[in-house]
This record gives sequence, C-alpha cells and structure tokens, in this order.
Amino acid sequence: MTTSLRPENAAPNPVGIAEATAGDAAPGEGPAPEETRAHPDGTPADPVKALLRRHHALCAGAVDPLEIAAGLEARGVCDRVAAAYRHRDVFALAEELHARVERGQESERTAEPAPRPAGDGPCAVLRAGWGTTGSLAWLWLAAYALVGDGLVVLLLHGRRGLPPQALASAAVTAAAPTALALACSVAPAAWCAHWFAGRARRVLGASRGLAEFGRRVRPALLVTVTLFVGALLAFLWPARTALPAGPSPAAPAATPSSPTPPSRRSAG
Amino acid sequence: MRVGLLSEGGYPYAAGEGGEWCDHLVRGLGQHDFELYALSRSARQEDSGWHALPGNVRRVRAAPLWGGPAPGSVGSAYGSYGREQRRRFAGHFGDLAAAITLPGDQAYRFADGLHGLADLARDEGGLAAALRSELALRALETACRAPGAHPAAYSAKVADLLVVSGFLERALRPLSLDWYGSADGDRGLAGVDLCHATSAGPAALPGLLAKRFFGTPLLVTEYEVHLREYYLAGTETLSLPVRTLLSAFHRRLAAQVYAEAALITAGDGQARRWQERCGADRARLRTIHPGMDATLYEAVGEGDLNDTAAGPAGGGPALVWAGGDVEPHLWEALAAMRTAEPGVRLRVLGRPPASGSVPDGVAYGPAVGPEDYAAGDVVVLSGAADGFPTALAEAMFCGRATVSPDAGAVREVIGGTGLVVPAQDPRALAEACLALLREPERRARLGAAARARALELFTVEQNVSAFGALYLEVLSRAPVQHAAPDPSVPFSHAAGTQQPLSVSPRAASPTWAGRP
Repeated sequence: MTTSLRPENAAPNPVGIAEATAGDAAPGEGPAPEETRAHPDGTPADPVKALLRRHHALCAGAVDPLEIAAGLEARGVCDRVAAAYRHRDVFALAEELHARVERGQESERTAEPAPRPAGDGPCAVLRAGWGTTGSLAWLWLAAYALVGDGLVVLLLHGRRGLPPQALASAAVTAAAPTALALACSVAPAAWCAHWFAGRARRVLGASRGLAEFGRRVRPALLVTVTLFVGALLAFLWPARTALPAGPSPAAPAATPSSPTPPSRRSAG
Repeated sequence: MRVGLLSEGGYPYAAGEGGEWCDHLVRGLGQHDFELYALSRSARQEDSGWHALPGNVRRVRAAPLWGGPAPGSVGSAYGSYGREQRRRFAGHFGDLAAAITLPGDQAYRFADGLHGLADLARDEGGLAAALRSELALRALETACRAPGAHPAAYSAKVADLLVVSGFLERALRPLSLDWYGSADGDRGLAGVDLCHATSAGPAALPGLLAKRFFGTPLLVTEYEVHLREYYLAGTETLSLPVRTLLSAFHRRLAAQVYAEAALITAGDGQARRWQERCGADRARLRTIHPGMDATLYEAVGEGDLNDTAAGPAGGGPALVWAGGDVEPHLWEALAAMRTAEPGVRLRVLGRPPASGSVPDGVAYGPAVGPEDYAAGDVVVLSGAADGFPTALAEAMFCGRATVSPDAGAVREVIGGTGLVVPAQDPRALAEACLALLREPERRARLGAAARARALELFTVEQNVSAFGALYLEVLSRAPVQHAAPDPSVPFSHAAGTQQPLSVSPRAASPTWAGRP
C-alpha cells in the first residue's frame, strides 16, 4: 500500500541520498526548497518531512518503528492523520519516519550516560560499614583475635591446671601483635577494595567484550592483592617487634592441657 | 470451570492497573472458580495490600518480578549443573539471545529457546542463577557479535550486557516458579481448565508454560497493549543497545503469546490494530469493550431525560471539559463561542493551573462522579484520551451530548451519538459546541442515543457475559485432557466421561462438567 503511493512523492527514495543532502542544508535556515515546492493539488511535496522535524526527538531516540508509532499515537496522530501523509496507518508512517531520521547525533547522545555514578559496589558497602554495625563488627573481630583462641582452648580443655586469668593473659600476649596488625589493616583493605571497585567500574564502562574486560581487570586484581598483603606485612613486622611476645604462641595453653586432649576428644 | 487468572502488577493488588475489570469479572462469573496467579512489580505494590476477594477465588499465588531472585527456587541450584545441563542452558539461552539480536523473523528461534529454558527449569531448577551467570553473559555476547546482528546490538558493551541479562532474569522468572505442579502434591496450573492472562507480557508466560506442559488453553485480554505501554513508559535512561535488545525481547514475547493464545481480546480498535501488527491472527481476535457500573449514572442519566427542556440550574449554557488537562486551543474556542453566545460558562474537571488566573466564567473542580456531568449541557472531551476514553463513556451514561476530538478510540465509542471534531482545532470545536448549545432538542436526542448506546455496549454485565461466553468457546475448542483425574477433587470425572465405545484414546470432556 505504502509503496504503491510512493510515486506521488517528490523524493523517489525516502531513505535516499537526496534526502540527506537536503537535511544538511535545512536545519538552520527554514524549510528546504523541495518542501516548499507544492503539488498541483496544494499539499506540500514532502509532508512527512515537516512531521519528521516536529517529532525529531521522538524519532531519533526510537529504536523501533513501533516505538515511534506509540509516541505518535500519544501525541494525537491517528490513522486518519496518517492518511493525510499518504500512509495507510500510523505504523506505516512510523516506519517511514524511522527509516528517514538521521541518527548522527543520537548515538552520541545515548553513549553519554554509560559511565554510571559511583554509589554501589563493594566500596559503598565498606564505607557503610564504618557506621555502628561496622564498628561493632570490627571490635568483635579484634577482640576475637586477642582472646578468642585462648577462650576456645579454655572451653575445649576445661580450666584444669591453670587459673583462667593466667590462661587469658598468656593468650593475649601471644595474639596481641597479630590482632593489632589486623585491626590496623582494615583501613588499607577498605582503600584497596575502593580502588579496585573504581578501577573495575571504569574498565567496565570502556570495555567492549567480556574477554577484554577480564584482560584489563586481572592486573588490577593482582595489584590490589599485592598491595594489601604488603600492607599487612608492613603492619605485622613492627607489631611483632614492638610488643613483647610470650615464650611461644601455643606453649602456655598447650602445656597444662597436654595430658587431657586424647581423653577429651574421645569423650566428645 | 476452574480459571487461572494470570496478572502482572495488576488485579489482586490494590495498587495496580486493570484491577477493576478483573474484580468485576471474578464477581460476575460466580459459577466458575478462579485461581489468581499474580506477579508484582514493586515492593510498594506488595505493601498496598489486596482487593477484597470474593468466595469463588479458591487460591492466590504471588511472586515478585523485582528485586533479587528468590532464595529457595525449585529444583537443584545452578552450582550443581553438570556439563550436560550447562550445554543445554547455553544452547537454549543462545537461541533466545539470537532471536533478540538478529533482525527478521526469528519467532521459531525465540519459541525454541523459551521452551528449552522452561523444560530445563522444570527438570533441573536453578534457572535464575544460571541467567545471572557468566555463561549467560557469554551467550549474550556471542549473539550480539554474530554476523548480521542489529547494529545497535553489535555495539553493546559489557555494562549493557549486564543490564540486559539482569532484565532477562527478571522477565523470565515465571519459568522457574513452582506453579506447574510440585513434589508435595500441589498441582498448580495443572489443575486449571483455562488460563486467562491480563497482558501479553511476562504475565502470559505461565500461561505459555501451562499450554506446553498440560495443554491448557490460553486466553489473552489486553485493555492496555503491553508493548505500547512499555514504549510509552519511557526508557531514555538506558543506553541504546539495551533499549534495542529489550524492545526486541518485548516484541518477540508478545508475538509468541499472540501465536500461542487460543483467543485474544482487545478493549478497542486501536488496541486491536496493535495486536494485529504484532502478529495476532485476525481470526482469533475479539473486541470486548470495558464495562462500567451503569447504576452509578442511572439517577443523572434518567432524571435528565425527563426534564431536558429545563436544563441545569443557573446562568447561561454550560460546557464541561472532561478527560484531562486543559489544552490551549480550548481558550481560543471559548473566546470564539463567547462572541456568539456571551453567557457561555465552562466547568473544567481537574486541578486548576498552579500559575495564572482563572478566566471569568470558568470554574475548576475535581472529578467526583456523575454529578459533574449533570451540571453541563454539553460535555467536551480532551484529546489526551489514550486508549479507551473513559470520560466519554461516563458522559454517555449520563445522557449528555458530547463533542470529542478525533483521537484514539473515540470514534468507535461514540458511534453516531455525539459530535467528533478534528483534534486541536479551536474553530471546529467552537462551531460544534455552538451548534449543540443552540439546539436543545438535538442535544436531548443525541444524549438519549448516547445513553442507549452506552447501556448496550459498555456495561459491566455485557463485559462479564462476553467473557463467560468466551470461556466456553475456548474450552469447547480445546478440552482439557488430564491424563489422570485429580483424586483430591470429588467427581472430577463425570460418570459419562468414559464413552462406551472408545472413539478417542483420551477422555474428551472438560473436568468442570462433573464438578459441583
């Protein structure tokens, strides 16, 4: 139906080159010459062009002729209006608009929102962790690192042999350097995670394929882990040298309970 | 008969579109049992609560189409997929992805992929996690980079693929629900005789699966075409490749639903044209106009017919603007009318504009009910009516003469019982209004005809009875054939079901025939 009506149009090929050159000249200085040239019956030679200009944002942003049809219908263009543009229905009109619209600016326009604002991902979780619950969890971890081992040994083997105070103090002295280093390394861990997340997000926005993404993220992951391990070691070494460690980490807890474990284990 | 009513963001939830007609339907067809299978769209909707449900709603099952995947989905987890299952998943999802990215007629591919994924979800489970896995991303990427793929799909980046796969996981969530019979004896959709989907989007997916697994016929009703709704909802925040892929998915899904449905109904001609455009077979399309409660308008409609000549109280002739915000051309039309008839008053149903003064002789008021129309001699309809013009039907029920713009489904609703003018044309609008204001007898005649037409076409009763007849029609064409009668339902097989001479190997009578 549409194609049979096309010979009436002045532009023989709606998608063609003639259209593109006219469009280049048109934007600034009003209607293109071919549009003003009217048919003998009084209607403009290319009425669709005016419609295209009126709904340019809609047509350029649409990914599908049906999307244009939905937009046109919402703006009051019905089948009877489409008949004035020499089309059978809105869908046919939308197809012509979809075929004729210039998409130069549109790809730039939609490419722009690709980098998303930071606000999600692991760094946000970590930053949110600095609140009450985060501090509580941190305290809990540090406390466990300090006295947790000793308490577990105490529960497992009973308080036979040594008084609990002595056990606890021995455990604290043994685990104190590790706990201190771990507690201090939370901040570098958060920073490393933040850096890695930011890096990965930038790569994600830029990379075109999964393989490329993997290739570009893997070094960053390696660097992050190395950085953190380095920071941890850097904290561990001064902590161990500064704090006087006990005679041996396991010795005070192990000596009093050494006769009991086999029987306990078999009982348990 | 037991009907499974499938909805998405609709009926049982108080906050949602399409709740009213479903409510009328379920209440009006009290002789049938209904099971509601509802997909919710947001947490806000779930918090809004449900409509009051009548007694013939036997069961309500709901699942969210938002947020993360449900933790306890049926079957085994994706982590336990073996090599064979991974191969199956990659093949079927690859089909689905190729159907989305490649142009041209890919309906068979889409159907293959969808059915394959449905079978996989039913056999193995874990589909939600698989759709979020790297395997799915790789399949999607391969489809986007395939030769001949849509240019916009070809330019998709990793971030776009992530967005699309997340969306697909949500849209395909109905595949991994436990609505299709579970191990604990719950028969789900296997126990219904007919699936009635309220849109051709994800809501119809359970219906497609019930048809595939149990042979249950599917009836699709769209008062708002899902695809058009999707386009109008606005997706400008997404990137071009994402929008291209999502649009293709919605198109293919709608085409698949239309192809599988036994019957498709539309609310008006515009919706029907959309459905036809998306691949619905014209022979299976029916138009069932939405129904409105006629008793609300009885007092105004009938009362006015008796004393038409007296007209409404006070002042000069009055116009009522209904159906949306005031459009600029109305003021021009009003000015033109006042040069001929100085006493014309205008009442606008809607909020007054925040800025600017209200012109003389113009009153604003919220639309509360039929009394609004009683105050006017002529009702003027705004051109913003998208889809079915409800305000126009209300005015017709009230027996008012109307002047409507030529847009949407106005022409088929009004028939010949009111004036139709070109949209956005102030002079035509003014002339039509003046012609009606000057001729009270013509006004009364048109109003009476409009009311008669509305009572004939747009009542709840006609809507409900049309659906009741459609149910029987669908069922008479595709009798449900349960392999074994449900032992939990007494008299689930009638005595006459087994014919003495076995004409057909399977029982050919619907189960509802024997139910109390």
